[in-house]
Amino acid sequence: MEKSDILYRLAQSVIDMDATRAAEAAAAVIQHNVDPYEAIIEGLAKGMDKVNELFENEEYFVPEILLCADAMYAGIEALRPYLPKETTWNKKKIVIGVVKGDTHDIGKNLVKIMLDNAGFEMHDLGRNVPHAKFVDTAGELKADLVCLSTLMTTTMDGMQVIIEDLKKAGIASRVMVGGGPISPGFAKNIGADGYAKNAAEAVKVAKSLFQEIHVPLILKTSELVSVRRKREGVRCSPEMK
Amino acid sequence: MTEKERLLKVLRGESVDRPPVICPGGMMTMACREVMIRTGCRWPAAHRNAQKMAELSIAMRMQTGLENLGIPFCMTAEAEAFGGEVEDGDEITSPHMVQYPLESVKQWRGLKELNPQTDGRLPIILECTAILSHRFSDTPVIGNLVGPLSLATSLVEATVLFKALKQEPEDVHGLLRFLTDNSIRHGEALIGHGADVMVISDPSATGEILGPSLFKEFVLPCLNRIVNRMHKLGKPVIVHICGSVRPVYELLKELASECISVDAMTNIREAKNVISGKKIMGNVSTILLQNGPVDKIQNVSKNLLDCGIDILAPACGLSAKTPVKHIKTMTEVAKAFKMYDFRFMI
Repeated sequence: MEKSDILYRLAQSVIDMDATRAAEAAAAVIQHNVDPYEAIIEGLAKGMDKVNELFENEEYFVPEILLCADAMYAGIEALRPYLPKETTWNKKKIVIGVVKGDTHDIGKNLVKIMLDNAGFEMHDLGRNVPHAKFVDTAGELKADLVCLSTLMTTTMDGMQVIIEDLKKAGIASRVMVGGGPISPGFAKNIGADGYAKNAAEAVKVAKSLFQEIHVPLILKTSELVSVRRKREGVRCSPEMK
Repeated sequence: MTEKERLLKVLRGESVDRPPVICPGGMMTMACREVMIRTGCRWPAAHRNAQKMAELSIAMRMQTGLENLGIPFCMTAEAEAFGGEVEDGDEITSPHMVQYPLESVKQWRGLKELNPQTDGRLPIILECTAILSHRFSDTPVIGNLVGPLSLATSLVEATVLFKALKQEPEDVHGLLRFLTDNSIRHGEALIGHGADVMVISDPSATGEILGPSLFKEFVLPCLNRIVNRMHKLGKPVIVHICGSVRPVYELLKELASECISVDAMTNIREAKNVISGKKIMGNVSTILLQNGPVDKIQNVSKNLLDCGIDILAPACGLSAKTPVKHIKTMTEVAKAFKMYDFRFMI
């Protein structure tokens, strides 16, 4: 089987919401010595990009997105054992949750799926999350970004409390907010670094938040070498060819 | 013309002097902290005490100029009666689900039939409805139901339900049929205790989440079955749908209710045009009402009336932090509004 066929089958299984076919296509990846990392990026994720497009064009809605994501995860799970473990070494860490007083988490879950798909390391605190939990987790993980969601007007102010507490605690995480009642103006007023009006936009905003910052990677030489080697291993691992 | 006559006339399609201004209660909460403090009927106690619930509702009617009585103050009563665990919240946070009774849609067969006279907070709500209807014959008492699909998302994790719509449609249909039967029974009890108008809030059943084909298959038949039963009992029905309704505009014409209530993002002129033949209620932004400023609330309310809104109302109920002054601003605009009489303009 041609590599392009396998990548196409991966993408199409995601678009068709078919977890079984995604896992089968992933098995073909291994069988035909295709790079699993490439299979994820050029196959599964390409399919999910198309799904986002279908969502924006109102051909797909939330139930479809959830099932497409399941198919994508089925493919990733099947490929995971063949990926070098360190593929996550440079992932940006994101803490996400629905602010205390609110249990609406459909939007938050969609944002989580999309950001996960876009290559961020997600830490989901769930819904009805106490303010301190965001601050503590962000501090412990040295999170790059904290995503706060709410659908209720009454819990909006909790977002500001969290942003202030993060600052007080000296935690440098950036903050992105979203949810039904949140506007860009509100986000700016409470000192958030980003606002996204839906899950697709959340990915763009999260990426843009980190685009201009050049975080110097201070690593000892030996570590740098090992990291680079592992990274190369991901791209074109000799064992997998 | 009394407040009740005006609302009923609008819903029957008869002419009135001006649109009524209401806030139905239930999911579209009709309560604010300022009134709670003034009356001493505060959240969370008022959620579980018929007398306090009634007094807070009456005080809202008296102090804000809203032209109805609407209880309860949340949308968790039915889900709680089905065995869901509810956290009562505090003075500004309304009760919300913290534990679902079902882990999968298939488990719906384990749910017990609802008895509105005995289960959860439903008897308190019935008692409160009776108190309100007994004391106010000229103000409409609104009976609130949660739409079956939204109720389902309070009984099982929403993502589980949404996936099941595509993967286990038969089980979802079974669950929704069961919930529809039970909502009808609760609705009958509310009417039996004096509710004048029924409102079904179906926030999760938005076109934005489901799209037209799932909306048509899963939402429309359930809502219509409830509406038709309420009509048999002689009561008009308003259906509220959150979020964008644009993907389901055409389907909304097939709703059997007299009136559709829409979210703040909906353009009323467009909605009136597309969903012709239905009364439209809405849609002063809940956040604008909370935050002001007063002149913007005035402009938005006036503009809605000029666009031909049939019933003026907060788009998604009131936030408990809304100042009385802001609500009054909206109700005063409605009360000062003069309908153009087209007969004299020809």
